[in-house]
Amino acid sequence: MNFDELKKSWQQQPTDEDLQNPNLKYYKEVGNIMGKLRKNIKREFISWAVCMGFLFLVPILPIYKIEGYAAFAYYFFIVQISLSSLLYYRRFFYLVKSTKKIELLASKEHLLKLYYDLKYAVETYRIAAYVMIPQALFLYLIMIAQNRTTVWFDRLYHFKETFQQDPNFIVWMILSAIASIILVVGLTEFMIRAYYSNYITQIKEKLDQMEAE
Amino acid sequence: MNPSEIEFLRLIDENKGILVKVSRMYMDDHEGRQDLYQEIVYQLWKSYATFKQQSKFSTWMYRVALNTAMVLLKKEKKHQIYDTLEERHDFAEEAYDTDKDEQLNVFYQAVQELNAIEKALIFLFLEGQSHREIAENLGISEVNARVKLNRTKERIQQIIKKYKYEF
Repeated sequence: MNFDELKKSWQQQPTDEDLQNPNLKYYKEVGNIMGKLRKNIKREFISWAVCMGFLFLVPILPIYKIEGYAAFAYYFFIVQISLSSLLYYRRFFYLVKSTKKIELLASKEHLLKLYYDLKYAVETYRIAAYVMIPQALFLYLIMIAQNRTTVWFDRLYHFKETFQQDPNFIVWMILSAIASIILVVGLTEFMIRAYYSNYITQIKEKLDQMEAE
Repeated sequence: MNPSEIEFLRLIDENKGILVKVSRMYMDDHEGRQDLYQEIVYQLWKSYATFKQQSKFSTWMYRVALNTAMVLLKKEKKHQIYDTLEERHDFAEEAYDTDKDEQLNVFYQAVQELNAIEKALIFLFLEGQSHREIAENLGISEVNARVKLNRTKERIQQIIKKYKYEF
């Protein structure tokens, strides 16, 4: 093979292939969206770490008086919640890392990947939050019961007898549980909307605009 | 559109040939080339603000384009191995009109079997760069560039022979 001839052919080859310039405005726009998203993920992670730190300290605080089996159960739930949370933070960490890499923002294909990665991370967040509701209820119960936790658990365990002797207690417990579930679900949805949903919508809009062009 | 964006796009259009050739070297289908082309333009645009006029735009473009192509190729593993020359031939014909230049056509097919760095080496060589320039662009020593380039040339010849093509 003669490389000199090849070089000549190479330099004379037509280069009029139809390759479109990208729309540079998307680069800026998507770059801004991702910047805000990364900031939100960090902010949310810091809030979570502060909350977990506080929850970890709760049994030590004199106001709560959580001791014995209750303290053991409390920390068990805290560990469980922390591990479940790490599941979705792992997704978010992957997302933050991938948005910093070279393939970010460039093509529709990559933006589509980003869109689905973000959706997946948010869904993992939602699922983990919902799955943690029973643990959260137990934590709440332990916190508000203070040194009466074991007594309350015992009363709940003997549900029938307690209902006959002190129906108000059972009604109060059920209402508290319902209120807590509504609160957790509401808070989760609010967090998702405030921190992530807008960005999913914005990325989707960019994808639609790219599609239309 | 702001003036720097207009200026940037003008420079891209002036040097579009380089990007088209890099895209052809690294991607063997039109969609892949379009993606790579856009990726390179984005990367150029991203660092355009820091581009100093000490070197020519095209020199800087070579570096960014090849780096982007190499990273992208490694990451995405888009490089597809085709078993038969027949399939490769169809691909290349679809890419651009090469009826007049079968040698270049077969070369493009063979080049798809090279790794990212080999592609960069042969690309810069065909662009008429000296060993020193190739070494500078790829961040390797001149001796290393010479040795690697010779090996790459041999490899291309072997691949082409495998397809029973001779020039």
